[in-house]
Order: sequence, then C-alpha cells, then structure tokens
Amino acid sequence: MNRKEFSSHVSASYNLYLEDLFNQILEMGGLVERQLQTSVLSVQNADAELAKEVIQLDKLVNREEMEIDRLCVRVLARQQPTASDLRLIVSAIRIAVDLERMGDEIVKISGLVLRLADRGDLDCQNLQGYKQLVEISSRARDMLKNVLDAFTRLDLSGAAAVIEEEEHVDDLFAVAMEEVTERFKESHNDIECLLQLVYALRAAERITDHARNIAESVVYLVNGQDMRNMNDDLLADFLKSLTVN
Amino acid sequence: MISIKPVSSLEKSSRIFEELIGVGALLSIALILGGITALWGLAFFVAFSLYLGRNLFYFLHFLNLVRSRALEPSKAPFGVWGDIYDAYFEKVFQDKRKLKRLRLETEQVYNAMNLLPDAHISLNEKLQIEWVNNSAESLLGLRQNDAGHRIGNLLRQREVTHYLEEKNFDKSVEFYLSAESTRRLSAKIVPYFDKHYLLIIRDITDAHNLAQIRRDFVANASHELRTPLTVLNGYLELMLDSVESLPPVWSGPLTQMHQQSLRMQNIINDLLTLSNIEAEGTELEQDFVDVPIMLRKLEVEANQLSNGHHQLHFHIESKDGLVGKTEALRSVFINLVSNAIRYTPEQGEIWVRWYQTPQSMVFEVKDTGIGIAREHIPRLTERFYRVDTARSRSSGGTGLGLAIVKHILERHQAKLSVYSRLQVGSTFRVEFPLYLKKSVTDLDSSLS
Repeated sequence: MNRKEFSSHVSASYNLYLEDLFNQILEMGGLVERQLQTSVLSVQNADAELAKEVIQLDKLVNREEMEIDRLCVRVLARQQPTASDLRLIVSAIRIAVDLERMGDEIVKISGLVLRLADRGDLDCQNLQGYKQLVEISSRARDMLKNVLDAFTRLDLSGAAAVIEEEEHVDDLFAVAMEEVTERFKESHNDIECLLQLVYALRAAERITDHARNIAESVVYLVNGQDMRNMNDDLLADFLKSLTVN
Repeated sequence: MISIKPVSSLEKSSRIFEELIGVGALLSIALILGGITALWGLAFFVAFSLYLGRNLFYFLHFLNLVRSRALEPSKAPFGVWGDIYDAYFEKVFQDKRKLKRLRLETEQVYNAMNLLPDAHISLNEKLQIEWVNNSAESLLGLRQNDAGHRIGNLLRQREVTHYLEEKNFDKSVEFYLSAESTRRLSAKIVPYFDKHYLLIIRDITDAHNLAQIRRDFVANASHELRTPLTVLNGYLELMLDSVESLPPVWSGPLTQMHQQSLRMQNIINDLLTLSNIEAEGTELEQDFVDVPIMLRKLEVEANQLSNGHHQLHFHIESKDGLVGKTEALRSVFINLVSNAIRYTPEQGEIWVRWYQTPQSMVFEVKDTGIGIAREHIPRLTERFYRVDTARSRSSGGTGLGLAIVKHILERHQAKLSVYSRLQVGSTFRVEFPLYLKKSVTDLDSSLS
C-alpha cells in the first residue's frame, strides 16, 4: 500500500473519510506523545503538577479513541472497504486501542510521582530503579515518535527499528527489576516506594510493548503480513527482509 | 539536431510555385498521354490519381510523424507538404528549446532553495507537503518522498499543531525540535502562489539562548545587588540621623552617598520590575482599570512633583476605563507625565489628555519641553539609553522608565508613538485597542 491510494477511489467522500481517519490517528498519537513527554518530565522533576496534567490529558486521549472508532464504523458501514482500505480500518482500530492503553499506562507512571509527592519522600528518587524508570520511559517516548513517523510514511524499516528497540528495552527492564528485587531483600523501610517503582517500571515497559504492537499494525497495513506469534528466528529473518526493502 | 530556418514568406511563395510546377507537369503528362492514346478521360484520371495518391501518402506520413513525436526532422518533401513539414519541425524545435530553458530555470530555483540555510517546505491548500529543501531534510528529518503527507502529521509538536489549527499566519511560532533536543526552532507560514503556503523554519537556538542569558543576567544581578545596597542604605540613614555627633567634614559626603545609594536602589527596582514583566508571559490580566479616576489622582501627584513650576492641564474627555493591569498602567502614566515634567523648563506647559478615537483609546502627554532629536526617537525605549547623559543623570532618571513603559504596553497590545521637535516640545501618545475599552456601566451591569 502507498499513500497515493487514498486519492484513487472514484468516490470523493470515500477518499475524504479515509484521509480523515488517517489524520485522526496521528492526532491521537500526537496527544499521547505529549502525554508521555509530560509524564517523563514529571518523573524527572518529581513534579506533582505535571503529573496531574497527565491525568487530565488521558481524558482527551480516551475521547479520541471513541472518535476513531466512530470514523471506522462510518467507513465500514457506508463503503464496505476491501484490500488495503480494509487493512487501514483494521489497523486503525488496533492502533487506537494500543494508544488508549498507552495513555492508561502513562497515567500509572504519573501515579508514582503523585504518591511520592504525598509522602514527601526524597529517598526514592535516589534509587537506581528510579533512574532506569526515566531511561525506559524516555526510550518509550522515542519509540512512540518513531512508530508514528513510520505510520505516517508507511515506512517498513522504521517499524522494524521499533520492534528491534523493544527487545532492547525488555533487557533493560529485566535488569531494573533485578535491582529492585535486590533492594527488597535488604531494606524494610521503603517497601511502598519500591512497590510503586515496580508498578511504574512495569507500566513503562508495557508502553514499549504497545509501541511494538503499533509497529506490527503498520507492517500489516503496508504489506498485509501478520507478524504476531512469530518465533525468534523467523522474526529476525522477517525484520531483515523489511529493512532491506 | 539540425537547425531549421524560420519559414520566410519568400520560401513559402516558392513552395507554392513548386506545387504549381508539379501540378503543371502532371497536367502536361496527361495531355501528352491523351494526345498519344486519345484516351483523354483515362489520362486525366491517371494524373489526378497520382496527385491524390501523393497527397494521401504524405498525409499519412505526417500523421505518423506527429503521433510518434519524432523530433528529428526528416527531409521535407517537394511542394506544399514541404511547408507543412517545415512548420511542424520548427514548432517542435521551439517547444524543445522552451522546455529545456524551463527545466534549466526550475533546476536553478531548486538549487537555490536547497542552498538556503532555513528549512523551506511548500504546502498546498490542505497543508500537505509538496516539496522540501535540503535544509528541511537535515534540520527536521523530513524526506523528499514525504510529499503528500499533512505537515501536522510529521511535526506533531503541540505548538505547531496549535499554530496550524489557528490559521493565523501573521504570527510565527517557536518550538523545540523534539522532546530532548535543545534546538529551538521558529516557524512561520507565508501564503504564496495562489493557495499555496511556504513554511519557513529557522534554527533560533543561539538567539533564543542569548535573549535568555540577558534576561537571566539582569534578573539575577539586580536581585543580588539589592541586599548589600539595603545594608549600606540603612547604615547611611542611621549615620545621617545622628550627623551632629560626627565631624562636620563628613556631613556633605554622607548626604551625597545617601543620595547616590537611593538612586542605585531606584535603578535596581526598575530593573527588577522590568524582568518581572518579561517573566510574566503575554497573558493579559482581566482587572478593570478606571483610567479617569487614576488620572485625577495622578494630577495631584504631578502638581506636587512640578512644585508649581509648570502649568499642568488635565483633559479627561472619556469616562471609559480599560481592561488590564492596574499597577502596570499606573506606572506607564506616571512615567510619561514625570518625564514631561522633568524635561520641560520652568513655566512650560504640559497637557495630559484621555480620549477616544474611532480606532482606539488614547492617552496623550504633550509638553513644551526641550524636545528630542529625530535620531534618538527610535532608541528611546532601549534600556539605559539617554539622549543627553549629563542632563538625565542630574534630573535623577534611571534610564529604564521608557523601557518599562514599552514592555507594559506590549502586554496590553497598545502602541506608543512619539512626535517631537527640538526646542518646541514632544508628544507621547499611547493608543490602546478598542477591545480593551470597558466603561463603568459595563462593570455595573456585569456585577448585577
């Protein structure tokens, strides 16, 4: 599929509906990007005000998801799309769900900041896990940016890069969890802090998973191949073939 | 490519001549044949068929030539068809030359666009990318094959989205390249070429940093200077209170030291005010400012300041006030009036007017003072700019008054204009936009 296809239908309103849908997804993506960026800042500066802003933004994100669903239903009901148009609708619904879930996970990260601000506890910020949280969520933010760019350009190699990056983040997450577990063993005072940290780390890691899902939806949209449930070798080969293109 | 000479009228007539000769030759052949065989009808029919056949052949040949878009001229045939061939090849040749020139010019423009240091992106009516130049590729990471995408899909920064939605392209917008990038960019859209837009993005990191450094420096320096100065001032006042107990030689220096320290304190206070205004951002506060009442109070203060040396005339012609910041506007009015008093010789006259014009609410201060030379006027609102250094210092100014006025007026979307003639006097006019006007009755009705 390439972008010229939007203008290839005889029906002008059909073109317009698809174009609307495409732009709406990116608008929602931009919103989640902003939400994630605000969240990263709130973690870095331990700023409760920013964390509250993140929660406000989540309401907008949820509304956008409903709007995308509405647009998809409209095209499905009126135009009975086939081939690449149908794939666009299917991936739009999937991407919207992923973005919405991302929004929820971002709220969880901000929840850590709010909880810590309530306790007025500064020790927690000095933990190694906290730094890794910032690292993972910053990477998640860059992945989200890249995957949205890949979606805009229908760029397979961009999507492949995001999928590879997600594997790196998994390793980072494993290291961070190990360290937090170590801390659990030796300290008995800051259990709550560590627990919150685990939640937030998990949420950050989930965001990268959703970014990967979006990348997979982009691959599906562009060449119709489903790459979920591929084993490691198959996946590596497949990614290589995408990058070569 | 063989160049073809333009068809001249002489050649054209010669070609018709050729054609006539050809027809004449055919006719004479027919006559001879007819004479020999006495089959007149057949002879003329054969000659006519030959003529028709030749024409048909060249007609088809020409059609093929046009269809195949052959650009190399083949040999022009004899007669009128020669004219047609010549004309066609000349047209093709000219078209080709024109195309070549156009292509060259386009390439030249493209190369020039690619050399521009700022990112230039051409957008169509729906804000979709048409082309981008090299700087846009290196600065923003856009690609040539991004053509057709909406620019808002690729630049998803909040400020940009907002700017594109607002469609107020008189302004420009500043934003950071990405979440972690320190590069500050400024974007502006210029409509061009019939429903197309040119998005120009430039890297203003350096300028932005410089402005920030200047602001920070002024704010920090004045803040740091204030504390030591307060200590000095306090002790000086203490010493002046008991000046009798000190050697009489010291009373003069002490008074002078006290005066200078007070002056320094004024400067620092003004600097702090200035950096506060700058830090406040552009949002306008929604206070109601009752300008007539404020001016009546100001009249009393101005008379005290003038101490009877000047004739002050206050003409408050409008009963309406403004929406804005009370304290800030008061300092604008005080600054302008006290400037007038300071620079007007004794017995001079000063008029202060508050009135409404069809376009704006106007506050005007007119004096019969020493006036300002033309070259100084554009620089009056610079910090520490002084027209006459010695005179201004002796009159106790800080050099910051008009800078403060300018900043406050910018926040109120108001315009300051200065008209002046040396030795005759100056007029300072402040025009507030009418949408800031608010009268006391409006206020009452909104309260009830």
